[in-house]
Amino acid sequence: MTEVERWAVFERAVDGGPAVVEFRHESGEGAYVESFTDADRQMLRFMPDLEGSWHYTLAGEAHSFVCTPPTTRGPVRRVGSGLRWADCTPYHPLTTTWFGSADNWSEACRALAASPFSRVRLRALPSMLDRLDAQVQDLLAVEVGAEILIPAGDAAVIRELVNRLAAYRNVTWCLDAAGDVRALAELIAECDSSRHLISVHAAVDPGVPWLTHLSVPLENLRGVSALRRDYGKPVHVDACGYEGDGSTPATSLTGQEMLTRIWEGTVRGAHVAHGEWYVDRDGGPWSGGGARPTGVVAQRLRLLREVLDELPDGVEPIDDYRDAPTLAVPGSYYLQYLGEHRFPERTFSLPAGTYQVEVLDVWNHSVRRTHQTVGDTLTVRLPGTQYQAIQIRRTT
Amino acid sequence: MSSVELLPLPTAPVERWGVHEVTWTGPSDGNPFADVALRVAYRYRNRVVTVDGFYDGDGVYRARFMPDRVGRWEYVTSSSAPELDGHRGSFECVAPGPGNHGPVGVHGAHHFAYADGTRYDCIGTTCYHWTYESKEIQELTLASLRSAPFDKMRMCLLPTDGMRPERLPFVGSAPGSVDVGRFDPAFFQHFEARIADLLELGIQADLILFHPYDRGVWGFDRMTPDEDAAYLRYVVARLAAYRNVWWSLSNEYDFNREKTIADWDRLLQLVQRFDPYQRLRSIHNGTKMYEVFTPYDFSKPWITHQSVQHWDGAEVAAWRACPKPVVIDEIGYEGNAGRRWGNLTADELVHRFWQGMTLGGYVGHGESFVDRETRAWISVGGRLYGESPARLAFLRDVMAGLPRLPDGDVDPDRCVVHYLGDRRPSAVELDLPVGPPYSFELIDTVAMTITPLPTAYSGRCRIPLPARPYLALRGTR
Repeated sequence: MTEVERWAVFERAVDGGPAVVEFRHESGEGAYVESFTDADRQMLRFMPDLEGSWHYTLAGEAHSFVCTPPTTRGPVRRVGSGLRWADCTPYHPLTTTWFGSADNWSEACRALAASPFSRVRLRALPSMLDRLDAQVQDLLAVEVGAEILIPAGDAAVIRELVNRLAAYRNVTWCLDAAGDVRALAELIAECDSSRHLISVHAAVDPGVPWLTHLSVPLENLRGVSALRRDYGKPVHVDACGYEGDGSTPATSLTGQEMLTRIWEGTVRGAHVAHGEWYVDRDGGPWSGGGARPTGVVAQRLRLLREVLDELPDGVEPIDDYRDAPTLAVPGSYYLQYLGEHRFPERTFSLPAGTYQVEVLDVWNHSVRRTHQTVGDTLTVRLPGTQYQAIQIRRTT
Repeated sequence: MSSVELLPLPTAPVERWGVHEVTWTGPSDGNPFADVALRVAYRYRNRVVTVDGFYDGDGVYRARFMPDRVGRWEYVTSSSAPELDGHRGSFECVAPGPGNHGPVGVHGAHHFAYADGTRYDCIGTTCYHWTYESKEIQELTLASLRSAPFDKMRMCLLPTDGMRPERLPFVGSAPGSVDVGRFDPAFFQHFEARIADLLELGIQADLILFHPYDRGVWGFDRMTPDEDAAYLRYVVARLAAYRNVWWSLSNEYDFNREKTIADWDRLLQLVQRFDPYQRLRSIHNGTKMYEVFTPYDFSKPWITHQSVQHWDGAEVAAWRACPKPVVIDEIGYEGNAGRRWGNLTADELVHRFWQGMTLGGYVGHGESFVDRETRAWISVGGRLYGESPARLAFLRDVMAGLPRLPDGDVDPDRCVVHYLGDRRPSAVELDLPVGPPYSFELIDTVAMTITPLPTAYSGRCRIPLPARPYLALRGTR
């Protein structure tokens, strides 16, 4: 019998015209899959998310396959105001923006694989869905998430796009705010048998239940805290500006400004996307579809990548320190970001114990680590320069 | 095993936008309202709509759901109580029956339409506590509504400080002995039947969830955030599936000194989170008629329309700067009460309607005659005594007949409406669009007559008038 790993892709061609198939798991859970057109033939794709036997009927004939245990963490799910992999482990993406088409893709994909980024925003061009399909597969192979920006417009194209890509576990959907957002979101939800995350970029009302998270343009990242409070959903800052030398204020941020925006938003509990717009670089601006990121920020985000990878489960923004954003698991873990401010020192109230204290120089990519025993307060001396973060981890 | 054998057996079909209800038996010990979580995930194709179930007393748990697509829906429960967890079922959703146009939503920036695209007129009225009255009065209210022009009813869930009803949303019947942690299923069963009665009459139930007329007597105006949240969650779980439900978070919200704007933000956001359908949602300010005006900031994203209290229909033009429908739910009431809000003449009330509605807003009716067989309509319902309902029926017909643009506004290329107000001009000078002339009719909003004028006009023109108040001109081409 056919075997498919949990969260992998079951795929088959179907004879004749467009087909609609109901996959039914032995538990009674069901999924609905429409075929899509791939080079003159109809294909069905489905990502089983339950182990065990799945049954379906095609052209009057009963078929089945067995879903076996996974070797991946699966797609990403919203849990409250956080994101988790389907296996329940926390998900902390680091996103960049690549709005190209086909040129430079193989270099760009290699650059992504070698970068600190784990997720990329791509634009869906209705005339090039097969190309997008190949790009998403390339990204899946290097474990990079693909945020698909879906332009407002033809429902038939969107249906074809979703039927083609939904079975890839690394996909998320982002709609344009123009058009009938509710109708499009419902159409995608109907077709998407994997129930991927879905948002509307700059939604008029992101609070509606058919959107899983916020996708916002935001220049002042302090605004993240209010968005999290108001909506109780994960917040993606899709566009906080671009590092570069473009001709607009949004595409000519200094490296320092771009880096500090990403850190500020992240430590306030958002997922902040990187973008880069150096006009004359080889292959053109990275975020316009260039061959590789050439700016100073992408390299410096390796430190953030390390921090994100080691964040303990359950970390949340806390309000205890009103003058600096702080992520914490109270009592055991703190990450505070000081931004453009040059504090000489910072004091924390902590339970008695021993802590590993790190002062991260975010701009210079250096870490000064000490171990300290605390009675009730801990004072951390700082170098008096900008872009410092403090990470405190309880060791006993 | 085949895929067909694994399909849950279907129950009776449900109309599109009708209510599907399922019942299970579960724990009745402890406080089931607080102790037991029950969610039901309904699925059409791959789209999942999750609703809260609710405890209905005597060990009975229910879930209500409004399907919005024709076809097969499947559902599965999840619950903290094992006996309520993992139940599966399915039903077929069929085409809507006659008169079922679906829920009302916002159309364009400033108007409303049913889900099937039919225009919604939005001429509301108010009977705050009609469901708390005797059965006879309630039946009388429904009979009155049957022959009235109104398609929306503002009504409260919670009693005022002076009321001593037999049943409340919460368990208990005397101030000081109410348990706000437990709900009274019998109250809600009755309340729901009345919402269904309104639905039958084609009337939207604009449910007022809080009001300031408690003044701490029952304490419902000053519950804790957790108590507020539990109340809202239970109300939404029970009532949201009825397609005629709207949410009005509070009446005269700004007169409740126990709550801040931040509180109302949070409570509105909670209703938005609990409500799987996103019913229309607003919050209504107070004015002490002509004294104060501090409307909620309707530009906040969780607000769907502007539920305004104000005395002047001419203000609609300014409020339309916010791209949401303007509904002046209280503009003063026809009647003879001892307060300014409740002793307008029919002429004055209908005049305010015409002002607001010809500017692209909507206005609500109310009546407050205090010396008739039944008490004030706005409080208890009963019988209507005023002259305004007939004139509002006439207004509703006129507004419904105007040619409109796709966004719901009157199409100025095809039609102009000019309301002349409470003055008595002998002629009016208009600056009409140039081009083909408009044929004009004189509308007498009091006599309810429409009389063609002998001359057609366009561009800058002067139209002679009979020099009496409350007239309107309608030009069409």
